[in-house]
Amino acid sequence: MTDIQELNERIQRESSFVDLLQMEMGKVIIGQKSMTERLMIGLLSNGHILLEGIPGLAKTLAIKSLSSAIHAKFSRIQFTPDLLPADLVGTMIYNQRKEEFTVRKGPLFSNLILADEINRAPAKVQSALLEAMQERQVTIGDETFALPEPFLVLATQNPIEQEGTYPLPEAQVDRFMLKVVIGYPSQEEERMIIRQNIANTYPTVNAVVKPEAIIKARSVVREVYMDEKIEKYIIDIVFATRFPKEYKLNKLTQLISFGGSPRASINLALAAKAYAFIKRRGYVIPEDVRAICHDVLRHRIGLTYEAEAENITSEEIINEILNAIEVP
Amino acid sequence: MKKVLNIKMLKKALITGIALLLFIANTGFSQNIQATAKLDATTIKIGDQVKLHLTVQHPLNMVFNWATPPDSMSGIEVVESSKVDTIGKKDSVVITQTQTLTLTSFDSGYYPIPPFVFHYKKEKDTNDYVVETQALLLTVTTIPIDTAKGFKDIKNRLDANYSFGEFWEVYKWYVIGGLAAILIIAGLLVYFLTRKKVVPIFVEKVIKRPAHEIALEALQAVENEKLWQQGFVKKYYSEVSDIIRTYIENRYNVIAMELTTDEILYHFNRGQINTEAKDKLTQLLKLSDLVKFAKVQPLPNEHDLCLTNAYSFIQLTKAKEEDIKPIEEPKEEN
Repeated sequence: MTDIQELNERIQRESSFVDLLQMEMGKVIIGQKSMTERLMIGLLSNGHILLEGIPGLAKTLAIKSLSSAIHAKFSRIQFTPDLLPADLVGTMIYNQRKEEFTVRKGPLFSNLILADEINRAPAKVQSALLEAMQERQVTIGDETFALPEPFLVLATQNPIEQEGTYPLPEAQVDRFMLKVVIGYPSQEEERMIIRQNIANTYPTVNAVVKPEAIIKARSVVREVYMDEKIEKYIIDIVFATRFPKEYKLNKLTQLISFGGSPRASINLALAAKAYAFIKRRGYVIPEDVRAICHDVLRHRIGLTYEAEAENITSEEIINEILNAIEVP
Repeated sequence: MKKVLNIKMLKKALITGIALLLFIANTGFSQNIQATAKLDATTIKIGDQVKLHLTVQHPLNMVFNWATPPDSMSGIEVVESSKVDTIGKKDSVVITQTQTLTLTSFDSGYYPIPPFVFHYKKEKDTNDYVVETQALLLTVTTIPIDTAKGFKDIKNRLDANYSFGEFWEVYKWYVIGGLAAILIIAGLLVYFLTRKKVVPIFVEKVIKRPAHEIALEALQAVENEKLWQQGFVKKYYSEVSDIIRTYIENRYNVIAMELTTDEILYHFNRGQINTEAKDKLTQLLKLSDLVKFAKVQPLPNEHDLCLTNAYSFIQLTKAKEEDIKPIEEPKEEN
């Protein structure tokens, strides 16, 4: 009891910046509370995020605002079909005066990376980025360079206009901790967006958090208590994506081609802890798991041809699973 | 001078003579080849058929190519072409070849039949010669319609006599199959209606009881187990909360076992239960969550309060006697 109380107190102390960050972002981003929360989860659990939504839903603005609110280096890379891996990681340049090759680091050497429209670049560029995401280091020439901490990649993807795009392979999508699908704002939010734009008043986002605070908070997030019952709940959910029959979900057998990997379980647990941290709790409850379950699993469930033919989405499959697994 | 004149006259007479000889020879040969085309009737009614006879007479000692008749001519269709027939007398040097074409037309008007061209080669001569039939004119007339009389409907078909033998030949298998199906259905009906129903000797009775009865009994069992008194606090709270969630599932037909505390409470926002019951449920589930997931160790009086809340919630929300829909209690497996 005492250790949880102590942890709760620490969380209250360490998570104070969360409100500040949300406030600063809220100045420019109207609505999209869920997206802002997910960005925080990614930041706190050291996981990369893939944002998917139609154009104009403030994906890029949200990421730019987040980076502005943190004293961190920010790079925006617009992915295009002619982009090369060297454009991301950097390259060796010949210095005529010194008569030697010197390293020119690429835009990847930043704390926050916005990979805009990641699916517009060919596979080799995507691989270079995703490798850096996984290894958190980059090799240029013979030298290996560690990427700065915190290092967070926020990639955006447009679900429409698929012509001329290079869809991310399943193995690479798996490296994103969360895939956040952004929806339209509500009527009230839309009204406020119109007013703000017509008034031509764009509030400036102030840098309120230092990267050190985020790194410190990350260590607290990992300490958030997760009971065995919650662990079992997470495992049950992920296993239900792999072996639906064992959970009396026979109808899903024909719809799922492959289920979540162990990375799904790890990220579900980690994201649940980060969510509990945001909610100022030192322990995880089933609500935390359910809140981020869709974002963790939606890109990790492979759909069969039958599912696609019947327009069944991974969202519906996750809903079925959540409705069938007993909450502890 | 006179001599010169005689030579000129002689030359002229010679040329004229040779030309005359050639003309006579050619005419003589052509006279042996005759190509004729003849229609049975030059006027037909629309859709009627008429025969066109092609006849060629030529000597035997030559290569003669018969003209291939076309499938159609302008406005005229060739319905049928007969084989080329050859007629010749024994020891005759001239033969006659004939072919008959059947023509028709489906539009009224005047249709010219062009000449049929036959190619031939004479003996010991490589030149190609032709002989043609004469062109003909076919008149196709339509039937005059008197619009003043009005239109008449198409006549019905005439019925032919249909004997039973013919009917049987066509439909015998359908009749046999139908009769067999009727017999089978009738047999099955007789069997099922007349068979004796087997009355089971031992009937497994399914106990159906109201949701609150089951829940109260389960709570009593947990109380009797004295779990928290033995130090099994987490198990105690897990069981009490599970009993209440199962009760909600049975009582309100909500999948409470698959819902979180917040979701269950959200479900009761629509006023199915009164505030007192909702408060007790909130207190119970929230405290259970803290014990289950946050290592909270409540005080002994809180343990009792949890059970009291559970009992009160059931008493406050149990269905009225007249509304009770008994639920099937799960049978214990041996």
